[in-house]
Amino acid sequence: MKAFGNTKAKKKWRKRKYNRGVMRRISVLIQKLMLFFSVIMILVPIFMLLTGSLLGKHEAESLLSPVLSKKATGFAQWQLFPLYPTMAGYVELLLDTPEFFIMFFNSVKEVFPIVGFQFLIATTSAWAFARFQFHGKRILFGLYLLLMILPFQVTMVPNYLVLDKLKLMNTQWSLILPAIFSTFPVFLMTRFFKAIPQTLIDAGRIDGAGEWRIFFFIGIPLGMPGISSALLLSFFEYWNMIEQPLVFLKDVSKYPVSLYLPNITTEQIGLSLSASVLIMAPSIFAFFWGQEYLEQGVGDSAMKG
Amino acid sequence: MDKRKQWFFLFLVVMAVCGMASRVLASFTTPLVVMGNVQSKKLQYEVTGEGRIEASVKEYLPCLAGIRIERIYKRAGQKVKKGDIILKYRLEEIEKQIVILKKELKQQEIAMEQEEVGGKENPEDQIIDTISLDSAKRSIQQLNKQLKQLEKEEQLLLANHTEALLKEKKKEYNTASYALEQEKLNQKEILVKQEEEIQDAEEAMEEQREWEQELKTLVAGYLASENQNTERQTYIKQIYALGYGTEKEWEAHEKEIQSANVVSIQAQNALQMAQNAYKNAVIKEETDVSSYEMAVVNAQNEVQQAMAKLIELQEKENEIQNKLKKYEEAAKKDSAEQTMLYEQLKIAIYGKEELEGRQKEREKTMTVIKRLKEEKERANQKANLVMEEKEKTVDEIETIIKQLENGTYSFQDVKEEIKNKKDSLKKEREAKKLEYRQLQAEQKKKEYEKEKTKKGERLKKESMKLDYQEKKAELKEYEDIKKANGYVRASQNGTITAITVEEGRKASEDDTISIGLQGFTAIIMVDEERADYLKVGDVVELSKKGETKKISAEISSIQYAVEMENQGDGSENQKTEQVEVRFLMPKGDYIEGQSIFMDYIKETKAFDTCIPLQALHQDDKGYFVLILQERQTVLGTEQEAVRLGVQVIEKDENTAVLDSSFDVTTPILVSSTKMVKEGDRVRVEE
Repeated sequence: MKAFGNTKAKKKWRKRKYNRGVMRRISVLIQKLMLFFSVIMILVPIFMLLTGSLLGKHEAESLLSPVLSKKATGFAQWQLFPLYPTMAGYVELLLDTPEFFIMFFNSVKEVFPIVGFQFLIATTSAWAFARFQFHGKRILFGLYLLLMILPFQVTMVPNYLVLDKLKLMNTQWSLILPAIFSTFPVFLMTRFFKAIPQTLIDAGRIDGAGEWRIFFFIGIPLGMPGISSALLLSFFEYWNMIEQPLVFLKDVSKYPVSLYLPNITTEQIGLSLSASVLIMAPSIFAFFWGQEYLEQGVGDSAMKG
Repeated sequence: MDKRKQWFFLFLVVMAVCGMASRVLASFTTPLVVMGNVQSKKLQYEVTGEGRIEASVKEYLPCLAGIRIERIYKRAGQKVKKGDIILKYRLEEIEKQIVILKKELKQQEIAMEQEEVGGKENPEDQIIDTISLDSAKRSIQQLNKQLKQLEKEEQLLLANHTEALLKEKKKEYNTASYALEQEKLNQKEILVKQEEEIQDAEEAMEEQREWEQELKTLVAGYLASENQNTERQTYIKQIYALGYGTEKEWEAHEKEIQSANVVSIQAQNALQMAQNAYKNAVIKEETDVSSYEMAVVNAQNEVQQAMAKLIELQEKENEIQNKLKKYEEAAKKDSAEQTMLYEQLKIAIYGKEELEGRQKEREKTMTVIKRLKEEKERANQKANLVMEEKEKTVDEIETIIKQLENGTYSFQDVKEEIKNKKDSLKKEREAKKLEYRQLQAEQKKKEYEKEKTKKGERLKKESMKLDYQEKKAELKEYEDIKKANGYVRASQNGTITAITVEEGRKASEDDTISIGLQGFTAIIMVDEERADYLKVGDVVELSKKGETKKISAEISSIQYAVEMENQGDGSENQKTEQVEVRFLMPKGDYIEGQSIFMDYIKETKAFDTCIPLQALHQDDKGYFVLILQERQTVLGTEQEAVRLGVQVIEKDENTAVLDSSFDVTTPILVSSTKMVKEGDRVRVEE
């Protein structure tokens, strides 16, 4: 207080405080602007996709032919909103393109079992790694981690050989089976299960609960954010898979919807954009469904990591 | 349930419903097709046409245009026998017409002769044209050569090959230096030669001078010596010797004088003796003294001759001596005549002719010396110029070499210079080319015009010839009828098919008098496409207009009738869309010009590769059929229409015949509920 007794020093202190306040505000403004531009960068393609799906056939061709046709010259253009918006693309897709639905439900048939089985396999494995002590646990977990970081191109040939031996090639099981035993959900869930306090489990044991009971009534409810986020991420991954079906499936009638877009020709730009919106829809629904768990899970895994 | 989950499930349900709906719709929209195989079948072609009946063979009787018909004895449709009178022309009019025709024939003959004489081309024009063309061509070749040389230099420069250029320039330098040295040697040789020539001329001049000097020296010596002195005699002798060429010659001359003198003395002695003898004879009074007189006369003659010879021989010497003395006197007096007398002395010594000759020779030699000196001067100047130029070239090349070695040589200037030269050469060449092309075009035009004129003249001549022949034939016709007193008779048995003239009226060019000699022919016009199905010898059923009865007739000929089609701009094009089919008609009642119809169905042999016409398609690549091919798609195994190119041999309204190479087991798409294109998905009707 003695220092503030001096008026000059007081003024100086106030000025410095004022300057700090201005600097903080500028910094916040810059951060907001950066965030705003990041959001714009993410939203612009989605916006373009949505408005593009309402383009008429001729309008879409005239705007995008320079990038899609070899004969056309000049530059592609994009309008904020279509001059003549039409649902023709959606109508054609929904009512006159049975191939799309075949592929869409192929995806449903492949991705939902993957997620379901992963729930069974990954949660139990993760619980074992998190809560039990056994010989070779660290080595086994290390192998899991190693498998997790290996890209698909590396594991493709072993997978192929195994599936061929099991006579599962050109069946939807060739996509489902390797995905069930994916290591990433195990890794993510293990971290969550490890975070459950030992005292809580001990209390359960004292109350007479067996291992399965502890797993189902303590482990799963408390590890739900991790389980959900791991399964959601798996859903996104397998809904958009490209390489696996191309390698393991020969019969095009078993192809997932993620391979529908490469079949779209230049003359079907409108159809392609509408199909993109419908292909994107399940991922969006799934995201909103598990949004809370995903945010929590990602946040916690970051904290725990 | 959470709303978000409800939306998710609802979305999946909507997708499922739409999926089913699209499958149902696809089943409706996919064309249903019927497949079939090729069949064995015959093709049928219907050929229809309309025409008229005409007499097969007709004879046209003479119809004299402008001659009045006096009487007609037969009418159309009447049968006639050979020699029957058909009509009679008015004889007076025929005779008048014959006179007119003869006059016209004469005029035509004259016109033809005039045309024959017609203009002939001038051969000089052609030669001039050829020379001009050759000249232009040569100019272009010359320019091309120059351009090539320049381009070569430019290439060398553009490549900036300093080393190559340096090498080139060194080569040039060596050549130029060698040329310079050579030039120097040449000049030296020329100079030496010229100097030798001058020297020779001067030596000749010197000789002449010496010759004069010798005389002067001798004369001076003579003048300086005393009279009757032996020295003087020596000089005189030498001066005489000059007059006789050499001393020996003079000595020979002296000897000759001496001998002449001896002869003279002897002659005088002989005369003396003769005279003495005569005197003795006179004294003795001899009767015949004439012989003594004769001897005296002869001796006198000999003396005279000897004296004359002596005088003659001494004449030159005396003359020289005389002139010498005169000159001596003049010299002593130092008179103005001295020079003249000296000249006279010279004439006396050498003779006028020789002196003049020597004088001329001296003048000539002087002229030669002067000319040679001038030539030498000129050659020197020229040589200096050439040398300077060559030295300059050598210096220039040397400078370029130094610049190239120093790296200071600027290619740009040379490039610029070459470029300018090239441009100007190119322009010149273009101008020459243009000139050449123009000349060519003019020549072609002239040739074309000439050809055209020739053709026109030829056609005109031919036309005139034809007119003349026609006129002649016409005259013959008139004369024949005149011989027959104007009567026209049937030449053979037959029926009168046409007689359009009337009694009392003049016959015109449009009138016809004809007799049908044999049966009738039906002429029917058929479309060109359809006519392909007919052939000579086919028996076809025909029907006359208004009658249902069929007449079987055989095709005797098929001819393409050429029709002229107006193009709108006045020109006409040939068009062959109709074919003329002729039939030999069986015996029956026919009228010339009567209408007749044909409706004929032609059936071909059986073909093994027939398909319905609707199964055959055509595009810019040719004919094709659609076959089915299985395709694996997202919807499973589907049938897809695929194009298969085929060769069509024949086709009628309903059926097409494919090439025998077509696989008969291949099912083809025969019909469909919708239009099917290549690549379309289809369903096969069971």
